[in-house]
Amino acid sequence: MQSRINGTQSPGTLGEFETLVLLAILRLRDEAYGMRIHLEIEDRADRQCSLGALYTTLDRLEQKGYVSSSLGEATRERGGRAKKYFQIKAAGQRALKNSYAATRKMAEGLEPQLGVVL
Amino acid sequence: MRKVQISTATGSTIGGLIAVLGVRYIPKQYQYLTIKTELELWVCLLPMFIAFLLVFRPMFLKKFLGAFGVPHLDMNVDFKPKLLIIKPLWFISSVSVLTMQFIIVSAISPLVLVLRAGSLIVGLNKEVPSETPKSAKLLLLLAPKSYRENLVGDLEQEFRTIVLPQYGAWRARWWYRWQVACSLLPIIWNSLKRAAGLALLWKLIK
Repeated sequence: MQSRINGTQSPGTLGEFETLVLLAILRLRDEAYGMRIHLEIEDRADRQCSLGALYTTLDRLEQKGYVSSSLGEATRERGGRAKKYFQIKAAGQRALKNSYAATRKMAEGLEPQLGVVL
Repeated sequence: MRKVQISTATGSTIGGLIAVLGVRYIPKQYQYLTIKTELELWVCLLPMFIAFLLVFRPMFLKKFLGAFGVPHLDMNVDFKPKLLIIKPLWFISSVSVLTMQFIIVSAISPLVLVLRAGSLIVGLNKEVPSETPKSAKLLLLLAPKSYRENLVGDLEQEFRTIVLPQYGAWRARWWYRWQVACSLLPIIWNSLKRAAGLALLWKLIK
């Protein structure tokens, strides 16, 4: 209740960018690492974001227990640095589902005004 | 005779000297356009000179330099030659001084920089290294340790595989710098907020 009054996020909810990141991870499956997630968000959501902002969000999502990460292979084009792959966890899926459901409920009946079909 | 105030020349000399020194010490790989022919020089100089005269009007410059205590030579200001023979000589000397001034100023002229940038965009940047800028890479040390390596790796991969082949070295390098700046700004901002918070706490304790 306090968080509602202050306008801050309660622990179970997701921010807009967090939702985009989780959806990108879900979509990319085994190929979800920093650069691919970045490109996916830019291409699909048409939203410009920096890799730094993306990593800050991924770090936060990991701390919340919504995603887990594992190190992959190091490649030449990355200057010999390893990729960090992200996987969505059950808690993350739940949060994403709740966020999506909330958006749908809020938008119900507003389709003509929004000009979209949900 | 119409008053010709050449106090602009003083300002342009100071600027020119700084520019010449600056250009001299800019590494070769960053000098994107070399002015080779006289025509190129004049193309650069003429609009710059007009803009310079419009922006730095003599009176403004006089006040400006005076305010900072810079020695200021008002050459030929209010100079009204009485002897007829002096008129053409005075005119020639004024024109030659001005010419010299704007040749020097051209070295720092923003217009030249714009032309340089323009020449790169159209693909004359043969000397720009196709590596990530080291200075920007160094700044990434400020990123949190938990994801620093991955961030550098991802930036490098996107730079080499997507941005560099698509946009060329010059734009790719600027993209890299921009990404680094965008990545670090929130981190720096958070650190500042934290520092401000600590300062406030310290003040309360005291």
